[in-house]
Amino acid sequence: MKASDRWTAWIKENSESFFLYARQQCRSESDAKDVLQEALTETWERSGRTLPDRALVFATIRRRAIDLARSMDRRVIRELDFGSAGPGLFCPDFSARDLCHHLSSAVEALPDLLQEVLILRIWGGLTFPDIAKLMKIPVATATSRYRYALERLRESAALTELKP
Amino acid sequence: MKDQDLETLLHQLKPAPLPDDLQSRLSAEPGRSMRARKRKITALVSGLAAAVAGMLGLMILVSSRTRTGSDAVSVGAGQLPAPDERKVVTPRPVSVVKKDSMLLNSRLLEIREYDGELWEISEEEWRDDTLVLYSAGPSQLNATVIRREVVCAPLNFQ
Repeated sequence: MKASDRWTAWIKENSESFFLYARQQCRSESDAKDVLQEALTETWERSGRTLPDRALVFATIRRRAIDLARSMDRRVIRELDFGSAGPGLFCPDFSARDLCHHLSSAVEALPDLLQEVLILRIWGGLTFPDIAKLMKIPVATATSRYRYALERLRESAALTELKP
Repeated sequence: MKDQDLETLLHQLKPAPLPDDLQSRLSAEPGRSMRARKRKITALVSGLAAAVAGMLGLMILVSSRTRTGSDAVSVGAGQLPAPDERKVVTPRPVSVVKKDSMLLNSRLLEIREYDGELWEISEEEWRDDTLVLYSAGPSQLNATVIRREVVCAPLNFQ
């Protein structure tokens, strides 16, 4: 397989989860796009111009998003973004419309730290040691945050009413 | 609901697709887009270099023509030298014609005693004017630099 084909296949397979994480980390959609592109370029270079490790990409997205947030007045950004609902984090699945809608709303309503662990675990496919290393927290904390996130989702009124 | 069921449901949620503009930005591998960008930059730089070289060449040509023109007048229109006999005029270097320094301001910073003697430390502001002339043409350049210096001098009481 040619290098360009490998890249295309790799991007097709992973870009949506990378972008999901970038959006979770950034305060605006356009920032998430820039952060993702820069993170991919950086990790590609750091990996000797080959396909980078997924955990490294997630870690770079996180670092770049933090750097970006530090370089801007976060308060101003929040005020600008307040009230302007962006596109949803997930694709609506109309075959299971209600459950999907409630679940995605519940995920979006999770506190940032819980949401981050959940995204990295479910859609990023990272292990708890990887997540712990990336977030610079103990593995036990990563695991407990994940459990707590599931607990919060389970407790959400919509899910208790809509048991499959 | 068990954890496994909930995880299965979560896995069924697909992340939103990439916006079209981002998709196109990520379509080529970074090296390829970087190489393309480098090629563009190289082309731009070489274009600019060529333009600057052309301008310099034109300036040299114009200045040498001015000189050969004055020579031609002195020789006379009917006695123009053959092309191979024409004097080749090489541009001469610029020469500094005038250099002036003027004290603009002096400010006492401190009086300090050292080795049994009083010293005055002051800050002086100078203006340096330099007039540079290009010998082959009428161009001249006047450069002004403001500089500050800390000066230390013994203090003498009269």
